[in-house]
Amino acid sequence: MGSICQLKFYCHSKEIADRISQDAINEALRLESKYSRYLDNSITSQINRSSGNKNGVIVDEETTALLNYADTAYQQSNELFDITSGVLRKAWDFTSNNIPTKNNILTYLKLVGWHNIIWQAPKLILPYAGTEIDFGGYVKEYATDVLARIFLDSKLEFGLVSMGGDINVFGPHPDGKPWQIGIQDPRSEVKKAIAYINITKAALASSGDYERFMIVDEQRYCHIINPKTGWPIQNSFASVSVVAEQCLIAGTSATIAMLMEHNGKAWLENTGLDYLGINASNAITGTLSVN
Amino acid sequence: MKTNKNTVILALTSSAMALPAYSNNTISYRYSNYQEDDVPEGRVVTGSNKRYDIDIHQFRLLSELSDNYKFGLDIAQETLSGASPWYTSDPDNDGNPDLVMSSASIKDERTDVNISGTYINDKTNYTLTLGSSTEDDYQAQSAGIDIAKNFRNRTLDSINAGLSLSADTIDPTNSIFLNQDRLTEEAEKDSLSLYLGAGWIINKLSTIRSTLSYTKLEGYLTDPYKFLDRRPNIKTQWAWTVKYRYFLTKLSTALQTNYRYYTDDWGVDSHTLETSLYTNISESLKFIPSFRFYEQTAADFYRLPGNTDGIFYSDDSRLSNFYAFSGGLTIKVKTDSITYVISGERYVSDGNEHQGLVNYNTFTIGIDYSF
Amino acid sequence: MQNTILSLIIIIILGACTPVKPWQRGTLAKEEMSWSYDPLQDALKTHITFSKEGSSGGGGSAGGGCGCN
Repeated sequence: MGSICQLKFYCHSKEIADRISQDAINEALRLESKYSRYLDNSITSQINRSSGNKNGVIVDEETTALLNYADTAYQQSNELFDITSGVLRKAWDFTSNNIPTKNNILTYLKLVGWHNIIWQAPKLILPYAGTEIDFGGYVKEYATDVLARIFLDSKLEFGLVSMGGDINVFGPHPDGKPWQIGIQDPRSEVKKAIAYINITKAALASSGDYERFMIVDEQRYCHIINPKTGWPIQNSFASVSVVAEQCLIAGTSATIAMLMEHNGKAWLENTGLDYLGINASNAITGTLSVN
Repeated sequence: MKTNKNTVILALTSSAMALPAYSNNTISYRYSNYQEDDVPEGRVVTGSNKRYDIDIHQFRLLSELSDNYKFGLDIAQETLSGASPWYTSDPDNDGNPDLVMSSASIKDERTDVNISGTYINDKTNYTLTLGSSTEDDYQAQSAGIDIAKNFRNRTLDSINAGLSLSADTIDPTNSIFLNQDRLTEEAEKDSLSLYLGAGWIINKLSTIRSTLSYTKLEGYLTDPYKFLDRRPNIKTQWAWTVKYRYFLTKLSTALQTNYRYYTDDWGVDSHTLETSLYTNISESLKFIPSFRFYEQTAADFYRLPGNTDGIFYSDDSRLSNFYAFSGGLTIKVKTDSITYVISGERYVSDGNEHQGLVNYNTFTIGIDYSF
Repeated sequence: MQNTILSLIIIIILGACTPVKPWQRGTLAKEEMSWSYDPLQDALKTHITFSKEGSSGGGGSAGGGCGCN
């Protein structure tokens, strides 16, 4: 998945620990090879190669559930969470320091829109050639939950799974003490925590404007692009971290909060989930208590 | 974490539940056949010597709706045919009472439904169960609450307590084998049951649990299909159980032993001892042989014919002084999400001359499916 | 007398308890070490013995009745 996967847990036997870790790693690799858009044989690549083809692709149960989830998220986010929006990265090259022209953006913007996709489980049709779907916006959080589940099913109840910042704490330390989770400082050039959150049993996911971005004329343009305008988000959190029972829900909520731009904070408050938001001046807000 | 999420989160969560990582449900089905041995032909005065043959279907759904909520549904359906002892009689005066049986055309169906909901908070489980059982001549409604508290870091591992109530209605007017001077209309029976138990961890390989339960029954407690049966309309019973589990590491086998002492104010005292050896032949194959011993004393008003005086009377073999042995084997085959089960058991009882004491075989096949 | 002996055995067993850390509970969590490894089978056995013998209860939650006893 391109990011570091960490498994921290307590177990009474090394053989069992090795075996379960291997199961978890295998599952992470399985999901990567199935959904990565960088691998030719992945479901994502197969689907994207079929764009423009009226016959579409038949997908399996797991993919069906993931697509149904994406559909629900699209509807619950005022259509801002849109898994067809990935194609806009072709307009925005963050290494170039150049802002694309209006026509450039429009070329790709007309291929964006989950409402254009024909999804009737298990058949997925991308009617317009050049349309792409990308699971990258949420499959990593899903994978985090899948791995946490492997530990719980094996009756290992103390530990956490961390996949590059998407975390599922499936149990505290054996004495009941919480894990201390560091939140990345969104304006630091090195990996540095700006705050720590205590989690006993919950999942945490973050979204921010600092992962891929460019600054042009003192304006920041980041990799989170509004699928309706084709432009990167403005006036949003610098980063937001959300806590929920499932990492998938936490991640989707964090992403939607960013996409809601200046309405993000109110939207997040309304969900009832605990969160920590950091604005462009590194001021911390939110319902989570930090140390 | 706040617990009141808005509709957005609820919509996302219920959509997520369809993904393999999140749902934890099991559906189970068992078919069983229960067959009693015939009464020896020479020992039946009139009626059929063919005893009960019962087909039982059990269905169970268990669903973990979230980390905090579980739901369960149990449906059991049984179809019974065969004759049962109506009363005892000694026409040849040889001192050994014979049986007067009902005819073999008794056919009865029973359906039993139970629904339960569990709420889990901070290692404590609260369960509410509602049940309803219906057959031609009998209806029972029940409700129960169970509380189980688990401890993380101590020798005392758990405390369990519960209360349940049952309200039953008996309406046996459709049978000619009725009790002679009783019950021409509906009768009722109510029961209240309480229990308290605790479990301890002895060491990494063994645990023990003990429970004390108290039950009070009131109402029509007589068996309406036994000719001269007349029992008190109140009964108090106590049961004390001890369960022990020990893992034999080298054999990859768990020894399971349960003991129960029972006593009631009708004069019945009993001891029950059951042992199983849950043996892991491999990750996917389990052999579980089991053995049970049971022994009870007779109820104060239990008598065989010849002396039917007294306020209370019963010649029901189930209230006599007897003992019973049973042995069985269960085999489980486990695959990724399905477990197949097959089992059989033989039960024999003895200890007095009452021909109503049963011997029976049971056979079960079943399947558990996780999704 | 039997019950006195049983009580003594239990007290001795409890006295021999050694503390077990939570992460050492792996064996105890196995299905074969649970109090009921097949609840449906237990329910059936409980129902049958309740109908054919003079005792009941002690198991935990007391359920509803039936016309079989």
